[in-house]
Amino acid sequence: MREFKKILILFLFVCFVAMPLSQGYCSQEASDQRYYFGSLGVDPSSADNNILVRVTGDGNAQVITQLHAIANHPAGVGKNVSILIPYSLSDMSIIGAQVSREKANYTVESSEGKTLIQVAVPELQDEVFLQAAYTVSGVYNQGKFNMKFQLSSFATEVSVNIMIDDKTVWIDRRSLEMSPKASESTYFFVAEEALPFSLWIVLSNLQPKLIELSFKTHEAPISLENLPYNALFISIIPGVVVLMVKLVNNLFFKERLGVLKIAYRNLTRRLGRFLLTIISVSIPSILIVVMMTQGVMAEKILGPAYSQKIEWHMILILCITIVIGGFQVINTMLSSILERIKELGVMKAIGFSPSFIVKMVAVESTLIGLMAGVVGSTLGITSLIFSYGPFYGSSISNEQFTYIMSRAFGGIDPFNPLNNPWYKSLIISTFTSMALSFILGAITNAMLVAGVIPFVYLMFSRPYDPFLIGPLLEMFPTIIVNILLTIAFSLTLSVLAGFYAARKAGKIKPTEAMRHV
Amino acid sequence: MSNHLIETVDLTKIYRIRDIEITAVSKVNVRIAQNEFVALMGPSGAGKTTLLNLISGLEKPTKGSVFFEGKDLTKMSEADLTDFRCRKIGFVFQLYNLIPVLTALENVELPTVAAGLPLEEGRHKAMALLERVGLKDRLHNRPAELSGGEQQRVAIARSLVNDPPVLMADEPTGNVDTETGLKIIKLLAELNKERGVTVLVSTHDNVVAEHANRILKVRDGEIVSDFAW
Repeated sequence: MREFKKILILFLFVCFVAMPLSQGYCSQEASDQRYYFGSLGVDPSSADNNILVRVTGDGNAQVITQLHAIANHPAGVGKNVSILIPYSLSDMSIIGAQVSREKANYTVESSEGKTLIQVAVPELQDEVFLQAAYTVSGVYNQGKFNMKFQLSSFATEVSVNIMIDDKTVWIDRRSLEMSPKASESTYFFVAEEALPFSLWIVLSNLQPKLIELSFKTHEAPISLENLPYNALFISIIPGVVVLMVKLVNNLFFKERLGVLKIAYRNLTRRLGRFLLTIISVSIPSILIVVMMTQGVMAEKILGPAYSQKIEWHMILILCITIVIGGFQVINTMLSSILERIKELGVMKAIGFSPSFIVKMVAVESTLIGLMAGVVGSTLGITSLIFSYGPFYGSSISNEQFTYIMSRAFGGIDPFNPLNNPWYKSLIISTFTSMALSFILGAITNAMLVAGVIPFVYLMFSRPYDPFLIGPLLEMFPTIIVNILLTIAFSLTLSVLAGFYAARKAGKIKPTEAMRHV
Repeated sequence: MSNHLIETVDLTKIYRIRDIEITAVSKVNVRIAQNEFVALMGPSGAGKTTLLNLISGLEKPTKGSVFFEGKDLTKMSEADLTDFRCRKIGFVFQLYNLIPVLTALENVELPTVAAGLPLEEGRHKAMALLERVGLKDRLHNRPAELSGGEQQRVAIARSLVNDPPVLMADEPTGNVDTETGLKIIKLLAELNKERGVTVLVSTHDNVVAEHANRILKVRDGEIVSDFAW
């Protein structure tokens, strides 16, 4: 009954205290607009050194464009051409142009609601970079933001970064190696608090033709304002489950030390051996989930050019992996059980029935198989995301890397942890839930809350996307199905191996088993 | 028959390894009454252990039968035999055979789980028995942290936790030094008197036999002498 009370108090607290509290922090005003820079590269061998950048926005989006052109002087470092042309789309007026050292021409045209920026570099240089930044504002309450690239010339490298608070937090490598006719749409989620934000567009080795960027706003697919509370809710679920299990346990199983508990105790008392078994059983799961998912992931993240056709030899390799993995699982399970044959013999001798032994061993192997499946598929998918994520493609700077990692793992901005209202909300939610759990005496629950809230936050509530959650969300069903299949594989084999071993264990003669040393 | 706790009738066990037959126990007829302290003596390979295993239902005889409280063990099913061992026999082995990952207390309360005893009751009994064998302050140590003598005392506590009428000890002193062995035998003798538990102990140690009130000498699978005082 005490557990019921605890759950009720926790629930009421979340509803009436923690949620309104974090609400207050979430609805803070968006910060001022900032300026960001990227670069546009121009092919120096081209005779025509004009780049046309066409920027359009719908009625909702206000786009401020800044262009910053750098032409490297043939003489070498330090002799750059810097020109800055900030102007706004809304009023179409050129705010100013600064030209230093060498000459460059800039023209701005407007037609049919589109703005054309033309940058001409009259003299051939070794390298010409254009830095372009678009500060987008005026799309409050819009959760989804669409950007379309239309490249009328051949580009070998296109990437887009969204910058918030001077730091890159979202990287898309989907547009890598677009074909000359490529017309690629990409989208990302932008939370209200993240606005205004900027795009950092890098085009290099580009024949200077036409680049068209259009900004469109969409209805939010998920109500992002509510996400911290969702996170809060989700985070207390494990705690509630723990309390429920305790409750059920106290109500029904307190009297006896059942087969489940004995099996669980057997595993946890040999933690080292248990973890070793789990890891070796999970290795086939890693291989299988990676093999099943990587083709799909490559296509989703890197674009259709990377799609890997399912060919017979891929299926063959998968089958071989499954067979080899299967034998490894069976072998590991058997050895982990048969090495305890003496102990099982003793248990039989002192009066445990064969059926108890069979059940116990079966429960143990089920637990091992389940955990190994979860561990293996998680490791596999994580490694895939990592390999296709920020580490793929063109290099990222150390700063960007540090930042991405800190966002990904800590969920906390290392430079200014309390800058973002989301963090404040997160911290408030976490600490209030933890405090409450401690008051209720549910220390496990408090630990779960502390561990799970940031995790859930990272998974579901980010306006930032360092790990390509956008494209990953698209293939979420595939990933889930693959994970479930992998867990099913691990579980099935472990249970089969477990039952084989359990039958052997059930059949052993105690007198013979005890002769084993 | 009825006034004897254990009675064997022409008990024979023949092991067959390929074509060679080894008679481990040959036509043993023995009656053991309640509250006796019986020592099975004989050299190694005489069939002491096999005899104990047969009487406790751990092994099936080739011929003959074992009656325990009038019931024929040879006609029992595997499940019934397990239940019988659980409730009627306590085992003490030469190599202790404690579960290495469990504490002394958990080892002792393990048979109560098999007997389906409530957890609290099992724990209570286990603690009382461990206190009785003098390990009150070693409750939460694992077997590896205990000396041989202590481990054997844990094993004795484990064997008695379900209040069995019979305690079978197979060479309980075989793996400990003489002094510790003597203590263990004295403990068995005390428990025999205190709790009225029938003790069957196999040994080739004369000192052990001195504490028994009946000595069965076993040689080549046969009982060659039966001496009681």
